[in-house]
Amino acid sequence: MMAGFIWFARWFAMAVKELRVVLLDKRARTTLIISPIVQLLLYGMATTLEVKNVDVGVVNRDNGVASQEILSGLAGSGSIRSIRYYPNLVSLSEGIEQREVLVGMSLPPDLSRDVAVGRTATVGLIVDGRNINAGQIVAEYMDRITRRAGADLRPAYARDGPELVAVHWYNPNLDYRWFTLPALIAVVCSVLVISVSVHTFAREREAGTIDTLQMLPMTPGQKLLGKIMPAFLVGLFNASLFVIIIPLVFGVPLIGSLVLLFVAVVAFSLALAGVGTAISTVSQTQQQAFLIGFMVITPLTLLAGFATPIDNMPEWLQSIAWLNPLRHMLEVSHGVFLKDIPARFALENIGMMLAFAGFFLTIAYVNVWRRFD
Amino acid sequence: MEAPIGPVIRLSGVSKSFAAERRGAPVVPAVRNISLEVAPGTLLGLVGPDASGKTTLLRMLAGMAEADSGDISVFGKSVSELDRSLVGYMPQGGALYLELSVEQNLDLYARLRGIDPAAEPDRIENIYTLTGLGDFRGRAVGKLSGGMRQKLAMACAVVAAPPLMLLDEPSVGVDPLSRREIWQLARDLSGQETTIIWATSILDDAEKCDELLVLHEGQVRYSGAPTGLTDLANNRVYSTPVLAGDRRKELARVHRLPDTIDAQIEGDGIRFVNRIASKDASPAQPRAADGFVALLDDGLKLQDSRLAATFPDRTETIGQAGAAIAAVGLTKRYGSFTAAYDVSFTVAPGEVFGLLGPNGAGKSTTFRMLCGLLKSSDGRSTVAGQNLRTAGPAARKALGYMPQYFGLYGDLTVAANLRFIAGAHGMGRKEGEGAIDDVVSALSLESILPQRAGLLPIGIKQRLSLAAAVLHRPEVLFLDEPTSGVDPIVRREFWHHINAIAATGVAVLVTTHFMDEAENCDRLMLLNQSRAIAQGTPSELKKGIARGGPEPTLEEAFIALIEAQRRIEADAA
Repeated sequence: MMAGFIWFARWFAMAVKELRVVLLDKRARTTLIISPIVQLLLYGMATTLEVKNVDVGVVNRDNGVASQEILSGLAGSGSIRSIRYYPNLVSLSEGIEQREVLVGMSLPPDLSRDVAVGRTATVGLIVDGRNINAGQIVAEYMDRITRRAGADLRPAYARDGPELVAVHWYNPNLDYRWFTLPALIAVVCSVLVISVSVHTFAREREAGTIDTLQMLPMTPGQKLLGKIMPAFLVGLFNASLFVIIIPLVFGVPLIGSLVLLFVAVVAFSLALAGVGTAISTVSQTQQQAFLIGFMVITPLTLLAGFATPIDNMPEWLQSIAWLNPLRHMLEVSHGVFLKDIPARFALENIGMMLAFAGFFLTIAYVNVWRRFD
Repeated sequence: MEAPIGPVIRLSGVSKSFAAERRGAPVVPAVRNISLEVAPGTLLGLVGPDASGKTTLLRMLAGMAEADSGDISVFGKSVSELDRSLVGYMPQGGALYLELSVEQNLDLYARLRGIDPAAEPDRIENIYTLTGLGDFRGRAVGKLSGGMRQKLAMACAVVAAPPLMLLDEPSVGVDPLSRREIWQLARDLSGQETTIIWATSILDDAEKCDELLVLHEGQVRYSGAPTGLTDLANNRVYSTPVLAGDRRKELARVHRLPDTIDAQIEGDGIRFVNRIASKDASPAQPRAADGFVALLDDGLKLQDSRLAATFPDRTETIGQAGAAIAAVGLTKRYGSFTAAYDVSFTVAPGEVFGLLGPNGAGKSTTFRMLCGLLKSSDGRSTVAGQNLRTAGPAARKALGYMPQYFGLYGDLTVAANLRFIAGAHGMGRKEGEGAIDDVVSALSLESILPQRAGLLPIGIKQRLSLAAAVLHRPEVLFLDEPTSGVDPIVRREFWHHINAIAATGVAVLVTTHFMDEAENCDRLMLLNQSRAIAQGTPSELKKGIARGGPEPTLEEAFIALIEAQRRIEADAA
């Protein structure tokens, strides 16, 4: 009983000291609380998988009913900001070259006649490949608009063949925010937790306080568990903040179990605090620690399935990605927000994150125990 | 006929204050109404306790800080129009790049001062010869010993042989041998007409200057020749013999006398400075340091150490057989380099044991092996009956540790630092508050509790370090150069506490450069070039080299012993 109390007192002293060191710094405080919120808002507004405000160039050599139909389709589309007319293909290609327009559409002279007699009509489309994402999406819009124009002109042809009716589950309106914002819990918190935890032991080494720390009668466990507290709490605090803001401000549905999400956030913060602290125990200076931390964050984020789908990666990379705590957090976060993920499935992911935390905290423990000799 | 040369430096009514750390607090005066003239070729010692305004004054002379009021002229011009190439300024600790080599640092500073090292190889070679750094050209400055670093810093500051040298504590933190060499270096690097301003808190240095300016709390307290300062203690310094076993008791008794300004152990006696002439004790030769304490006497009686009073009474352990600290054949090798070889000694409870030696002799290595901070290559050591390397964290409860450099958290307040230390020792809230109250009131730290530890003056930091080291009332104290860089007054107050703590039965191990500090030790070990070359009481060490002549000072004994070993090594080679 008494021994347990003393153990706790030592750990508590360590944790309080660490929290003070991190939170006393006004700039650090601002960075840790304001910047995640700013990032959340920025991501909420800026990351968009939709393409709006597109400028389209048109060379119209048809002047018949078909071209009228297509052009009115373009004008009626909410995504297109302006239509510029070019006299010929040469000037259109110049327009694309100068980035006046993102795509160019060429309506051939016999377009209306082909449609009228029932021949397959062709519309040329030039896409600026330098802006590949937006270009591809706009090309798809164009395809839809021309098809619809064709169908309106010759309804008989449109009814041929089966029609594909797609329903998007879990995100029926394909709102990109439903995807990006829950993912941000993992992405933003990982950066914060790692950048706080890499400094822990490196800071003591740089300031020369490490000897004092080692001469105090604390066990490596007390030191380590005290040291990870600020990073852990920063992760927990910001993740909780995100869980509140995302549904309330951005209207993303939160239909799964909050308890599961909370447990996942705890495991996730522990895992990343473990990585950061392990880095700190092998670094001589804070700068070194920060650079290594940065080198770790980038691949973790890339392999999380946030920016690019993991299923598109080579198989060996997919197996590596399976070890990534970010990826597991992402799965739980998306699962809980959008589809009420089954507990068994979430616990699998949480287990992986805990294993990851255990592995890196053990490395850190061994390093602290060896007292950096 | 030659025109009369005016003073190099002329100050009239110069004052400067600094803004307080917190908004709304009053400004902190650093220098108050100083007037001064310095003739060419003078070596002026700028002497004073920590935070007395020495550095501020030097920075103003170098044109790096502006006075709030008053005029400063250097070489007859206002300091703002000063030709900087006429001034060589060495900031405290030097401004060296630790990752660069000796050669790269020296070349860099030479170029910055308009000297092409390739065009003037003689000048550069001469500097290498004078500093003795020729063999270390390629070594990174961070790996040099403290003495070498100070020499290089000075060489970098004065590489262009400027007619005015401003040196901020060039001899701080180095051993007596290196200190002598640094003095010699300053003389060798300067010419007849060179004016040197030498800031220091070491009074031994002050005796070697032509002129002195003693600063205290930003004000001039004394200005004139060193002998004048010494004269302030004329007929005030006495010595009284004492038995070896009673030294601490006797010291405490002398301190308790109403007229004692200051007292310290020296050899087989107590040397003390009195407020009035005394008939009971035999007079002793006054020194600059005595004049300094007499000058800054606050009229108060040095109280019995209340810090020691908080320690449990362990006096029954004094003289017991079981050693509190034991080292047997401690050896540390790094590859082919041996940092410490076969070091053996024991320290009994209630005993103060000193490790002496030049920079780089292996003191810190030995010290760190005993602490368990470093794994020994060979040999054994125990502290309070435990090997700290293997015994686990709980064994460290028995010892208090004061590192060489400030080892507390600079960003935290004093109170937060002490609370952390208390918690780390496993004290609960109430117990911890009690222990903190005890040390805070014993060391008068109340007023600084809410301040950030990193911003405190060095003397106060040192007191805070002591408070943190003894918060849990350990039975063994490890002090690694505890008073490096603090002024004599702070050092004597510190030793007042340590002596009293030792008297309660605590074993103390201390590494030091200061001979007056070493006089407080019951026994000393002198290390040089990784080996123990002498061990014994301070008197034994002195008598060992006296050879029938007058008893030498401990510093002379120190230098003689080291030079003797160097000769033996040279003969062997």
